[in-house]
Amino acid sequence: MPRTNTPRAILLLAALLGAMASVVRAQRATGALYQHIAAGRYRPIFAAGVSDSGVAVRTFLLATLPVTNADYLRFVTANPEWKRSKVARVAADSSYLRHWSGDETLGPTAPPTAPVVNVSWFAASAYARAAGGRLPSTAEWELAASRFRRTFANADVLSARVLAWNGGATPRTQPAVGLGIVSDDGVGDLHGLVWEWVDDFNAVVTSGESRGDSGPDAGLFCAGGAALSADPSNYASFMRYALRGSLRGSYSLSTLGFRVARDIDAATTKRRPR
Amino acid sequence: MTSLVKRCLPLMTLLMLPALIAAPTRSAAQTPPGPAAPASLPAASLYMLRASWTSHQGRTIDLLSLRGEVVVLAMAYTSCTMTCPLITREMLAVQKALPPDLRANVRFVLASFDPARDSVAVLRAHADKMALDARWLVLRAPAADVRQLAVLLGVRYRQLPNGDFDHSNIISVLDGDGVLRFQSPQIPADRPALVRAVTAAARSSKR
Repeated sequence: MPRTNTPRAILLLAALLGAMASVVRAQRATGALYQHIAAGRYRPIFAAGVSDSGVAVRTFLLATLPVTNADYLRFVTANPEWKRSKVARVAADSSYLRHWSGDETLGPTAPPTAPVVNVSWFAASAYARAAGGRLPSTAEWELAASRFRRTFANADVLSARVLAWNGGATPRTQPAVGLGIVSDDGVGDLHGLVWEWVDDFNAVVTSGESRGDSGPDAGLFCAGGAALSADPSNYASFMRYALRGSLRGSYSLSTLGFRVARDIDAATTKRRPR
Repeated sequence: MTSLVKRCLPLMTLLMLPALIAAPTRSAAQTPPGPAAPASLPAASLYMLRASWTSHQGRTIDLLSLRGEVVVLAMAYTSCTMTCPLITREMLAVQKALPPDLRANVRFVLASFDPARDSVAVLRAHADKMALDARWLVLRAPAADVRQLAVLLGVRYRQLPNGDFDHSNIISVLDGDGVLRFQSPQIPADRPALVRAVTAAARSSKR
């Protein structure tokens, strides 16, 4: 009896592993897995009115991967008001989904596994809401994107990688998600694939014309904070900051995608031992 | 082999489940995410996007209900001691400078950045303090709706750890269809230009 059972058990195990692998592949394709991002502090590069220890970020969930073209196609099919031909101009500019072949056709420049780009903030927010989540805040995104101690013991190596990507040419067709570097929390493609929308991208309160000083223009902005302090050593985060400062909610860019974040629901938190 | 597949099938289905339910298939019920407004609205209308605002009188306000009126709109918060009172005063001065025959067709709206502190009672007290008449609405909404309006208007803001806000000093003029017609980016505003823009919008919407 045990002799006949052994190969069966092995077969069962193999089938199980196979199933799990296909799940991983499927989840790579949908970007639907979420990782716990433990609470921490985010220190903005321009820290007016923020204490030296930075902004407190509560534990939250962040999608393992950016939203793909295939994911977004499902959303558009279920929510036709977000089709390319139907979307309100106020919610997405004329570049919206322009790398797709049609309203519900991805086509050669939009591989299903590639991150969706050319999506406005309004569109990304609507997707995130429909997925039961939201866009991550700047603080959440930056905190998650700073945790690479296991992969890059030397932070400069990561910085160099990110800067090399920033300086590189934009591919006409985006490569698949899930092939890039993975953070300590298990979040992939935070660096090196596409820029990502954050919920509060418009929290950058400086005028576009700031040479030398980075302070808000007194007439344009009501800013009660103390003098601004910058951390110029983190050039990559400065570039993200500058990009956010230049965006409008309807902009749809060929290098700008997004991923979904979620709150940790209160019930789950309560069940944890103190 | 068949029995093995049969035995594994429920397990495999279970494992596949997260992947199957992962992508959103329908909109969240409480806040329709997308443009679902009347088709007759211009595509550039701010009223294409839904939000749930409450006025200082405690009334629920759909911005779409302001259709037909010219709207002078700014975002502020009532505990702001710096530019917000100046923004309100600027708008009051515009109201005063309008030709009398147009005043009934122009709405003045202050939308709060601060849903946590600006309750309906606080908004009402603020409207009283600033002597805002019946043409004014002081509004509050959940944080996500505040963010959406700010993004629509190109208003930048962030909350500071002490609860105050850094924010743009933009005053916007919307025509009768909710399309952005003019923005004054700064305080002090170019008041003659602002008055001209409101007057022009009010005249054309009256026609």
